[in-house]
Amino acid sequence: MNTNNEHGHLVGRRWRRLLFAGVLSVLMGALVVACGSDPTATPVPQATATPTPEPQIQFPEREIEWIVGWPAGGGFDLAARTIGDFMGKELGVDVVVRNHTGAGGRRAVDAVRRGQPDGYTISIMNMPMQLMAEKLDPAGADFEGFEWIGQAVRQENIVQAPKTASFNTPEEVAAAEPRICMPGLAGHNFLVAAVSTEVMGIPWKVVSGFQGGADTRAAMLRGECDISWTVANPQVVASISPEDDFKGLWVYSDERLDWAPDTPTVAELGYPELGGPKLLNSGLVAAPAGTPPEIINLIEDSFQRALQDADVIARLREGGMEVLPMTGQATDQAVGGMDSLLTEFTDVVRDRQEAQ
Amino acid sequence: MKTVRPPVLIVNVLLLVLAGTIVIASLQYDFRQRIVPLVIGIPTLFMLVVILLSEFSPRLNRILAMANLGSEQDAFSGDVTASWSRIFVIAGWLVALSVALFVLGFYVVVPLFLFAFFMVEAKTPAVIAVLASLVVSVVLYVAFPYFLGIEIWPGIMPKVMHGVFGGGLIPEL
Amino acid sequence: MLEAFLEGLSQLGQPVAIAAVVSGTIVGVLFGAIPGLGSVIAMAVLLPFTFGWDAYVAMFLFAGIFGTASTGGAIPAILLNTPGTIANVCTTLDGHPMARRGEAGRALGLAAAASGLGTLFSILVLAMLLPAAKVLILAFGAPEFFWLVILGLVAVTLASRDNLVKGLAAGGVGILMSLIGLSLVFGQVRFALDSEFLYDGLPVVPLVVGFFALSELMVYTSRGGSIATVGEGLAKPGVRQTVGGALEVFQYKRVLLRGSIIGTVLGAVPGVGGAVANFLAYTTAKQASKTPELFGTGYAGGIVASESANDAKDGGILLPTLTFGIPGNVEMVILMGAFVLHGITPGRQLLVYNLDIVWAIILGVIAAQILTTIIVISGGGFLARLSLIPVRYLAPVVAVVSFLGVYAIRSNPWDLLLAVVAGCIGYLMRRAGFPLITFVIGFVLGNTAERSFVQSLQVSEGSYTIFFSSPISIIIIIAILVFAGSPLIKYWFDKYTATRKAKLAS
Repeated sequence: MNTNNEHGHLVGRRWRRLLFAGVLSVLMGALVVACGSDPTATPVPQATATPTPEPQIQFPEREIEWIVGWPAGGGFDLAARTIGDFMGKELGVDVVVRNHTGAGGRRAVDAVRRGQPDGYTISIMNMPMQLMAEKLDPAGADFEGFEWIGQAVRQENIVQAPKTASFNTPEEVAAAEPRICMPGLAGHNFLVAAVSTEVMGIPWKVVSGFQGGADTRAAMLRGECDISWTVANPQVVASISPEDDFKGLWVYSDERLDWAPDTPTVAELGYPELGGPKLLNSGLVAAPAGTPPEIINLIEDSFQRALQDADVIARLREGGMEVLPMTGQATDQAVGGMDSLLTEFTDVVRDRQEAQ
Repeated sequence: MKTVRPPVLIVNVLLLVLAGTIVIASLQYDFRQRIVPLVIGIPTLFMLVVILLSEFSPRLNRILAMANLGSEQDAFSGDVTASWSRIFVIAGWLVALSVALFVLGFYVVVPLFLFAFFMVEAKTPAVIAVLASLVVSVVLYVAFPYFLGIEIWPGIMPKVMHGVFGGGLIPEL
Repeated sequence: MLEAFLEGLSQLGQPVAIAAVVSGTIVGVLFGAIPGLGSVIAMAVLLPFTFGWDAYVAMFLFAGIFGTASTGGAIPAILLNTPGTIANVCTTLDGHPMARRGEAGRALGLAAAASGLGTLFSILVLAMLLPAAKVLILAFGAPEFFWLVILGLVAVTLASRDNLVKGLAAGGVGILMSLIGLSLVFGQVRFALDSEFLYDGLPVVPLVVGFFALSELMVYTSRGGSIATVGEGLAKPGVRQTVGGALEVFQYKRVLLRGSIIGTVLGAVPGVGGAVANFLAYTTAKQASKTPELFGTGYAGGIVASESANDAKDGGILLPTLTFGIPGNVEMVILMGAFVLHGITPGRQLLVYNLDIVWAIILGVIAAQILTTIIVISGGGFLARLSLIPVRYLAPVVAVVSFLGVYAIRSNPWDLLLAVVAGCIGYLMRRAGFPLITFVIGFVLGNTAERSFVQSLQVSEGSYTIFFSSPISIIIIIAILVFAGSPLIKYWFDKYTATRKAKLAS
């Protein structure tokens, strides 16, 4: 799991921290005894402390925190931990994943927006979904000036229906007016479905609130709803295999997927504007605006090397995620592309969210 | 004759405010979004108002007792009587602890709190209090951040030592 | 099938596997015993460490954790009147009064044995039902789920029958509070005052830790002394008492069986969870008992009902997870994350291609539970002595650990302040006779009820007949009517005839 070397390093740093805590508490304890008063009222000797000097080329000197906006165990969390593990070994410090759960991942955006631009905070964002969330919120943040490090992982989108369904092409779907299965009226699958139904002229008739993809598929088998937009993971891949009960209707990638050779792309079906990376579920990594370029370069280089590593790639693949390295600059451009598409469809998405 | 009990009044008003806010706020939503808040909220408000009034009206109180099928202090509340002054003192300790943790972080506050509590509440000799609070703190710090890698809040003060004291990013409310 | 079973068994015999089960069990019991922490945190924290492990070993570790946390949670429930996990709430009702009598060891023994037998029962059911799982999953749609949740809520009425009006009012406020935040079925954030903190709704862990751990801490600390009052002539807690308690379980066979069935069934329905199973088993046991007045006074049957149900849910909850890949709760979400991490596809493929892994998990849960039962019974005497420590030493440590747990859940410091506010409100509510437990059950089930209600109407495109159109719905509705109606009518009738008689006599 860990090399001995790294483990020793880890112990060393942790002990220093413990020692510090111990010494500090002895000092504080002595202070309180001397004053003999309420400890919370005791002034903390913070004024005497000098701020740590700005890192110049000496980077990194301590652990790097990688903020994930969701609980541990999910796809992007797995990506952060896998890539962080590799980067940590390279950079010689721990890259610790912090799960700042809440507000639909917005705390991860927040960490980049408000975090210190010293390179010790990076964060993974679920795009384009989180960009949409900020657009829908009148007080939402913009993503201007983020120092993009690159694309960690990407998940394909697929539309699936029971094999028994009578429809295949977008036109047939529009005519059949199926009930659309949605885990929730927020999140990535919802965003792709909302934009696609608008472009393809499919009526918005939705059954929502399922607990994830498997529950959605069970609901389709029960006949509670008829069609579903989903990001591809191993479960989805298995479900459209010939032995199983589902078929794939179309995918959003530029080319057909090797695990679904019979499923056409949106471009083939006449909707090239929906294809490409714009609507794919991407885990993009950024650092706060104003992080010194030399530090960004260090992080980005290590990050990109992680994505070349066979072991890292294999692990992410197993988790159903594609690794498609993109430079920080290319990521920045991709975010721009997402931004213009979403700006066009913000009202549509809002309407879909409010329509029952 | 029963006298008016302040805790019942306080809790009642508090629950009324909470429930009332949700019910009133639900009016702005469309039918499906407000049906559950209203179906649950209106009877709840009604019951709360009745309970509130029964504190002042012995007659209403008797009617209410008819609806209850046993004594009011049931198994689900347990016996929680204690002197109010002591309750206030302990609640004060807890409030002080949580605020101090928020401001100064766990690393600094935990040993201080333990020490102070042992000294003031448990009347332990100073040496033992210092030792006990240090031992417990170190055990906790070894168990939580070291073995389990659980993040420890460093407080909102300006950063002095990363991850230990100061520099925590306060999440937006 | 047999081949896979034997494969799983032989894997369990490996030294590494034994080590994994043992360490999983210890971590599970510890995390369960710390209020605020639970198997979710334990599994999430350990998940990345299992990178590169053999899949079997990782599964044994996780089986050890998630199967045992609710047994661990019984320890503080009994000793400190503070449920270690939300599924142990009802254990406090009889466990703690018993501990205060100096019988903490007996209570721990009862809890450990009931937990162990409950788990074994549910795992046995799971093993038998695995082939038929598809039928079961497909039978439970949105309307059936809605009625099941209503059944859970109706239990609130039943539970608070001694204090009906306040109990219902507290439950109602709990439901209303659960509606705060993002509703996935609507895609809207309601009642959150534009707050990011409330975006996902009120967080349950700070609320529960505040309500139960901190408010209880105020009570016992302000009283002073120690938890247990051991007078002369009363037995001091010890190993003998614990073993005696464990054997006592067999006097409550019917309670045990009922609790296990309720736990297994509710566990198997995704999203209902251990808290509700625990609550429903307790109230059913009380209702069916010939001596309902003993419940809440330190009655052994109450502990058996509560603990058998919250552990039996573990077998039930594995059913949708292993067979359909539908995680029944957050622990299962993480377990599925572990599957993915180890290249195993959860869902129906699992039963086809990885049956040995399924058996490994099942056997792991059994081994871990047996181990836990042994640990708690043998260590019960020692643990029970905690109840003799003066609370002025115990209280600050419990407070600090509770806050650490609250922060660990989602690294949000505001939760610390929320927990303390909940603690103060919780104490006031208890003092004013508003039962916290009905509030919490309302809070846990409220938005689930709303979601399945709206979802059903979306499925039927607006027709209300969907709620009455399947045989399972009808069965659950009848159960609700019987469950809720009979005791109320009986009690009111008895009261009425009693007053009539009194009038006639005078």
